[in-house]
Amino acid sequence: MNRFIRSRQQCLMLLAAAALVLSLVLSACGSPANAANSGAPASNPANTQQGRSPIYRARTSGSQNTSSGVQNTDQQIQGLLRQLDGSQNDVNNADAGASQDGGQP
Amino acid sequence: MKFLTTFRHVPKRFAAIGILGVLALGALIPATAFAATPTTKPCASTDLQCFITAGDQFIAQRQTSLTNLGNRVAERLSQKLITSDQANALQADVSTNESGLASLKSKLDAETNAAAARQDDMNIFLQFRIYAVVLPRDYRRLYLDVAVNVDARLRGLSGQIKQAIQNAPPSEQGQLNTLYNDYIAQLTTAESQFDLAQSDFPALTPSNFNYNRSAYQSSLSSLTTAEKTIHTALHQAGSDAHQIATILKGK
Repeated sequence: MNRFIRSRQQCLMLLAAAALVLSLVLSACGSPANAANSGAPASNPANTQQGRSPIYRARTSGSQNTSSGVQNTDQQIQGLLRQLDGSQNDVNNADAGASQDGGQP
Repeated sequence: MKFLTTFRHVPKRFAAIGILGVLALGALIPATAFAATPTTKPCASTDLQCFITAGDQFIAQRQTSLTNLGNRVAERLSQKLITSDQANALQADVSTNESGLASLKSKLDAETNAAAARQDDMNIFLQFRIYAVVLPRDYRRLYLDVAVNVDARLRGLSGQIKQAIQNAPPSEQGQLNTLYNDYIAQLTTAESQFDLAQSDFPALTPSNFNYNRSAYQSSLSSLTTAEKTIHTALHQAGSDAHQIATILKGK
């Protein structure tokens, strides 16, 4: 009886794990499908612009260029701040070693 | 025996979790806990060789730390985070201390009197204060140099951010402009600390550390506060830029 209950529990756990893996695989597959316009909601795929007016397309395209430009700018800034943190760590390490000759020999 | 019988009934996955837990705890213990701590035996007052050996060890440690500082300065220069003038000023201080320690080592190694060798050992601390003064000061100088350049780069990028905001939908511009104005304000806050921080460095000397500790501590405290303000402001500016980019990405 106990063995039956245990094997049932194991089956349930396996099913839960399989469902988790499946959901991860599906979400991973779903992202690249809309990667050309990562900012667009799922219900607004990239190629729906084909039916829009030329003025709308030009404005949206300019906005996308601006968006990707500002993403690059953001990445540069975050990179610089990480390097600043590195310098801050060096200061902390130097302070930690200061007691080595802080007092009289 | 009873324990073993009980343990046998514990499901295998609990045992696995237990083993993993023990391993994780082991990983949390810092490696330094097992590091050998250097011990220095006191020298007998007449033991010349003991003073020379100890002094040579102290000097070698300090030379290594100065080399590390020099390497870090060169690294920051190669990353274009500091200018060559800023790097040269720091490398000059590294060289001055390295050559001073090298001279002291030559003097110490040539001593024939234990009392003179002991005085040389004391001078490694008193005259140089590599760990107490030079490294904390010079790494702070390096930090400030990096911060000045990071600030300038962030200031330089503000035009691109402004342009991106102007191309955003009007409904978003209010929020974006608030973030942009804070971005500029944070850079201004950081810049307002640069001169204050620079003015603290001249007091950070081994001499002040030895004989005017209150002046030394006051300047160090002021410098530390200024650099914290700079650090917080630059990070806040970075956060503003990131929020702007996130909002524009959603368009």
